[in-house]
Amino acid sequence: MTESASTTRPVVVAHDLHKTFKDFWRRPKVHALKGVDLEVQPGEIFGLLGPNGAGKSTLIKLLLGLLRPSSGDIRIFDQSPSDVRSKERIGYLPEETTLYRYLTARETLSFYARLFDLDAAARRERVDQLIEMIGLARAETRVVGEYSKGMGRRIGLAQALLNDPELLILDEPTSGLDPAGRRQIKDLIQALARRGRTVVLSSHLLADVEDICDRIAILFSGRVYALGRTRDLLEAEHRTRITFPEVTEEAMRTVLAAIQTASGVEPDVDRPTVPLEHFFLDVIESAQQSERDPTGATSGGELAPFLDRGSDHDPDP
Amino acid sequence: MHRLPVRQLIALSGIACLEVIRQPITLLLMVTCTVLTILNPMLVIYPFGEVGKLPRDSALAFQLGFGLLVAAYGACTTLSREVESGTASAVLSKPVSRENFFFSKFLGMVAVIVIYSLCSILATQLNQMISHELRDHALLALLPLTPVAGLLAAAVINYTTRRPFVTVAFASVLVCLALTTGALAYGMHGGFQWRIVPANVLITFALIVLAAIAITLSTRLRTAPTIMICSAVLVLGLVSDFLFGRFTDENWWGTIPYMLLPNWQHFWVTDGLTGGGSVPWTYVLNAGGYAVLYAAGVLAIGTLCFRWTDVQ
Repeated sequence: MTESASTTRPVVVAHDLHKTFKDFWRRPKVHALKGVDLEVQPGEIFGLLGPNGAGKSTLIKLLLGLLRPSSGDIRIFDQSPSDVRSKERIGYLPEETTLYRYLTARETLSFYARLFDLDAAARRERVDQLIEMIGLARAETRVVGEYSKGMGRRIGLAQALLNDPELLILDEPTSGLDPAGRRQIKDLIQALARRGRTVVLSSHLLADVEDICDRIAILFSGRVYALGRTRDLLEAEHRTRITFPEVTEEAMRTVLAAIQTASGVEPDVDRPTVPLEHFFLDVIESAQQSERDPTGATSGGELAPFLDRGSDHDPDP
Repeated sequence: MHRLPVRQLIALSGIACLEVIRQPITLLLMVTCTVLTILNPMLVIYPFGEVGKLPRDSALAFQLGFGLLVAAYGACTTLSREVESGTASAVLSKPVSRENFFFSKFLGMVAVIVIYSLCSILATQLNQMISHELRDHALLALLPLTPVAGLLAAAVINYTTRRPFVTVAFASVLVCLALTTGALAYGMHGGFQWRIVPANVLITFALIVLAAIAITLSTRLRTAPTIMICSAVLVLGLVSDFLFGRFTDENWWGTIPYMLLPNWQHFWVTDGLTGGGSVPWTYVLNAGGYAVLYAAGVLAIGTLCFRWTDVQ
């Protein structure tokens, strides 16, 4: 197998994947997945969507080898998920940030760093950089049990990045975060994808998924009901939008008349609005100039230097 | 790369030990055990022929009884609760094998039991000093305050340095017990009674076997059934000579449970201490070998169970 061939192989392959949970007496209790087929390509941001109980978290835990499939096949980097070696290339942020409550932020990251094959100097350097990146340098000595949910999510994300993973699996990465925190996480995910990392994320926040995912799969009751490029799936058929800068009323009338003559239908006219998220972030940014966050959390820095490898290329149009 | 599993094992064992110690109930059990151990000589009205025998037997019983709760509750906290709370899934998403994860939890529990037993050994020594100095009222008033002094010291350290109270309290109670025992050992009747230590060590072995059983059970069961089954195993193992041992030559149905149940009588040697007797260290080593083999067998079953457990 050539190197180029290996890099273009799917990072994740699931084929006819079934998972049935059983009760204490080994009787079937819940059919969580019923024949899921999907592939995730290198460098893409892949979104898993679905209502509660759709099977998103089950699929993620199968990817991590935490659960075993009842039938079907699942491969990650062409290895079984239960193979410990595959996990050296994976970063995982659980749905609920599950941390050891009595450790400080630094102790937490140092503990997780010791689970990887990193020397002491590299571990220290990465922990320092990640604490700076997630903006918790001023709260690093507090035990994480005292953190807010948002701060806990940030530590959870930092532990997922300790090994500079090729595949990042994020279960509800933006839940519990304020809009500024969500924007930062989304920017971070996109920055990592631009540098060649693959991201699989599940979320209930459809706007977030729409913002950043290249492809999505929509699950319901353990089955995939829609799978494809986000833009293709969301494209409104038989509709065309033309946007142009402020024009005079007379020019507008001329344009509308021309369109009506050419197409035979009367077009709708409205004024585009700024997304609330952008408006909110502008307000908060100006407020941050004069206020200091009492929790010790700051807005965070740039991508940690050890993560800033690979070419920074624009995502596919 | 070959050193990674060892480093993981050390890191995971350390965190398992810390997590159990930081549970307030572990501190509560340890302090209750030491306070009761130190207090009980004052409650003995009649010595039954040998001064200090009844308090000594009670002290060892306290070590075993409270140790059972520490072992079973700690094992559940460190494994099944980690699986339930999700910290296990975060750790197992790293390149950590399930075998390493499971065994590290056991090693963490062994560390907790050793610390708990150290406190118990020191409290047993104080128990014996009090038993022989019952007329020294000042001593009687002050000695039971030793664990309390440890807790007060921990409160001060917590206030001044913001270190977690429970962890500091574990260490400070141990230090206070050690200082008190050390200070009194040379001035009291009998001094430090080394002959009792093997009995404490044997109970420590029993607790380690119990921890292995509890941690194996907690791969499939929750806290309450684990503690119930461990208690049943403790009781059945204590009377297995009577219930099953006497039938082993006659019936196969007596042999199987007799072989499967841990025989706690190997670790309960209070009679050997009667009348100034002692327990040979060679016996302690043999019993330790039995404990290691039994725990290894139980842990092997636990490893297999945990390997096929869904970590949700």
